[in-house]
Amino acid sequence: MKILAEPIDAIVKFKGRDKPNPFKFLYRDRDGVAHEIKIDKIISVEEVQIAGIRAYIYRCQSQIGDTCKLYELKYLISECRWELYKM
Amino acid sequence: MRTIFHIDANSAYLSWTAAAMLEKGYPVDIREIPSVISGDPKNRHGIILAKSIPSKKFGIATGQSLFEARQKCASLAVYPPDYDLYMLCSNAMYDILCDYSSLVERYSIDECFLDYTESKKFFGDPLEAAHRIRERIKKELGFTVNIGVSNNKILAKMGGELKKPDMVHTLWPAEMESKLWPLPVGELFMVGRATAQKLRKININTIGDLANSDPQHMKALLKSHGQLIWDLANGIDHSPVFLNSQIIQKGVGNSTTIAYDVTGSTDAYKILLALTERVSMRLRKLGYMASLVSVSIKTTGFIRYSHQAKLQSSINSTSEIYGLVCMLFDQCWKGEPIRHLGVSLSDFSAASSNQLSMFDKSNPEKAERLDKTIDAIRKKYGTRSIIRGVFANSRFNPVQGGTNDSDFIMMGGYKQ
Repeated sequence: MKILAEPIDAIVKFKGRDKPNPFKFLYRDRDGVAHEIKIDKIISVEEVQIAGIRAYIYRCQSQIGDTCKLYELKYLISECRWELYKM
Repeated sequence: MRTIFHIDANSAYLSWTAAAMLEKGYPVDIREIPSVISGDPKNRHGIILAKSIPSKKFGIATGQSLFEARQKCASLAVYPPDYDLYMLCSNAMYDILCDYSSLVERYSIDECFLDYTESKKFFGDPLEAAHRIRERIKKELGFTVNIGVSNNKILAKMGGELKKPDMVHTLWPAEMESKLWPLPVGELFMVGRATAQKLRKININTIGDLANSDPQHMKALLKSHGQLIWDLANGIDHSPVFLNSQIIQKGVGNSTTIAYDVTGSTDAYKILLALTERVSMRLRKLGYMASLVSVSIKTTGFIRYSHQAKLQSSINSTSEIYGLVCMLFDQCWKGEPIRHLGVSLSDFSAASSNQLSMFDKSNPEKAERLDKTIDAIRKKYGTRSIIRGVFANSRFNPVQGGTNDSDFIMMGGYKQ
């Protein structure tokens, strides 16, 4: 997987004291084409703070076209913002 | 015997920028190429703030001008500083260190002292614990640190400097002779360029030469500083690890390098007002009043002079301080083009118990209420939410001094 760190639009479920739970997201590639991706499975969630920037990293899996893709989403806590972190 | 750690982030600004850039997918680790963090030369802030280890091989040093550095290495990569990021990195490092001791002193933005004496019974051997801390910071925060381990602060600090990056060094008193004393005297903490030159003149070239010299001779040559550096060379330091909340601040000051040469007093007054806004806000935040006001000027010829006034009563109102600052400026400025201006306040007393003067010109309570209200508005809505009319539609920044508007302060003032 390669680091992309691209900002995304995300639909997320916030439930009580749990960590935010992403449901689906919209990602525009470098050609400006929008891709709507539904998250099939969240494999793991890890809290990180590289360079002091607190974030949650979600390792996810989705069916994109014919292939089952693994990728990572990142929620930047202080900025309240989602990124497609790695794909 | 005490056990003290000195933790120092390697090329702090540069490696913090590098860690954040890698997280954003930047393809190169700027720590591995000749690179520097530097201010903007257009605003005359083009000074090297941090350098990578490969750039050191070209003879680039912190504090040099960017112009000079580019002459030494044409392919030098230059990145701007991001002080908000540095504050995050510094806080994260401090938080990790607090897991290992209740006594952690933030010596500067990238350096901490940690008293490990009482922690030994919980975390075991100091050297192993230092390696664990080093590894943890590297893995969790993405940057490397050097840790010096000894029985006092000076030896821990000197130990941490021995070889970089990403290392743990011990410098126990028994190891001083082999590890510390062969180093050039200029490497010793508190020995600057001028002192090193004076010492070399009397054939003191290494830290060992200084340690084995006569302390009375040093005192005669360099006064109390001579005794201090002789003690440091011999590893004598009894100072405890302070919590920053226990350190009493004795002065506040801010200064700014101006993007152009100031030739008229109208512009100088505006810059002094913007500096006074910052300084007096910081003074009130500390809960103090000051009775010593000082103004410093650096000309385009790099000649620096200052002028100060001792007051009979203490003040903390922006307008009152500004009045004195202008008076001091008028008294000392000789009319040369100005490059740099500074305002500082000291001789503090508590704001809660202030002696009123019979000769106060205006209503001091009214001024106090006004300052209090402005401070509260700025705290809630940002420093630039309320500004003086003189700055409306002007090219001047209404509050100057410091690196950003948040709580980034180089020494002290950190969260505890």
